[in-house]
Amino acid sequence: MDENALIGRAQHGDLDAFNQVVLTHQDALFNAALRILGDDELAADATQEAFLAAFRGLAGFRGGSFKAWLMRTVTNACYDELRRRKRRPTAPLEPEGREGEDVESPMWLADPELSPEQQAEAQELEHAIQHCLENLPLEFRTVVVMADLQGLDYAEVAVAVRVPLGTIKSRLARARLRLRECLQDFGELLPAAFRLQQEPTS
Amino acid sequence: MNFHDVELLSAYLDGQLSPSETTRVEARLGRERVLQSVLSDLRASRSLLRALPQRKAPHDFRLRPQMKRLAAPAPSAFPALRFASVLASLLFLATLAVNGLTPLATSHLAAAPAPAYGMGGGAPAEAATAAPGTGSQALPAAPSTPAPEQIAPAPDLQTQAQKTVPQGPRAATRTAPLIPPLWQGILAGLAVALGVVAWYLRSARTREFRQRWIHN
Repeated sequence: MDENALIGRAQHGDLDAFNQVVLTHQDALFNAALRILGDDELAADATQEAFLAAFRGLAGFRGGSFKAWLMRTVTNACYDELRRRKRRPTAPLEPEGREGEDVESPMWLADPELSPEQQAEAQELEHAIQHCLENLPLEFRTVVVMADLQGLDYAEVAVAVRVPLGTIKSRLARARLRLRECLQDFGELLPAAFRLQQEPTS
Repeated sequence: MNFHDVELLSAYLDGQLSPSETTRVEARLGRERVLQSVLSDLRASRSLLRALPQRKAPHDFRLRPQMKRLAAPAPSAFPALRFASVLASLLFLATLAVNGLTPLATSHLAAAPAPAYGMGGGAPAEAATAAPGTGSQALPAAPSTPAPEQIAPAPDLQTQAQKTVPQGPRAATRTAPLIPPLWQGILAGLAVALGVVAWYLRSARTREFRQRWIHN
């Protein structure tokens, strides 16, 4: 069944129909939350909260991109989570293994097709990018996550973060510029194909 | 090279420029090496972000009827009804404010012209009280100024004027509200009726949802 029909049924209170939509989008929402919050547990909480809020507020969806609309709910959930964390600061949580010990990477991240070396490189790259993302101001981070990680177009990003199109263009350019500066510090870690040029931009 | 150029290059990278802007940017890219370099950097950082592996969700996020915070979606008419109810309430409050402030405004208006009426009778009366002193000390030709007795009727005129003012058209504007009570009644009725309908529809949806998903 196509997504619009499922949304129509969900708007009338059909939980099964909504859950089918959840299955389609849960990875995208979790990844967006993870890149904004930088913490697996908080991201999972924000994602669950976003789906609950989306179901409650389905009457407010008036057509257009449903993914962008869902991204708005997850963005709001992330902002709420960050506000809560600001009020009650806690140490960042590392993912835990079966015995409760901290592990470098969660089990679901391991790709069996990659060699251990490749996996280590992929992890380092991911850490570098996440570090640079977390150094961005929140409003820049959100825009770059929506546009470059989630692949939304500018109009969809504008829906997701509720700012005008012109602001999206400007924030995205600033975010990419800052990311470029930050990632240059990790030059040797980056794959050769992605290594950034070191030329000045004056 | 300024920030506007970076913004243009970033939008160019995403294909978000108009055809004329695209032509201009491409012409500049052909002759400015700095622009080429920045474009290449922006492209590289965008590619890095896009290459970031997408994690699988750590668990299933489907909603379950046991979830405490699960609530039924509001009916599609609910947002419009709620908005209309709030709007009618605000308009009703605005009419109350307008009608409440209008008597104040008219009483100010009524108070302001009083000296104008009074000037006809009051000023000479003041002059009349001052006249004997000034007339006797500064002006020897005091007999030419009217005697206090001649001006004395002025206070009577003033009180007469004050008595006549409330009976004029101002009295009518002060008592009649600017917005008729009928309109206020309609707005108040609409606000309540729309609110009740919205609440009823939402309750019915919640009841139906609970019966179908939670109690079964």
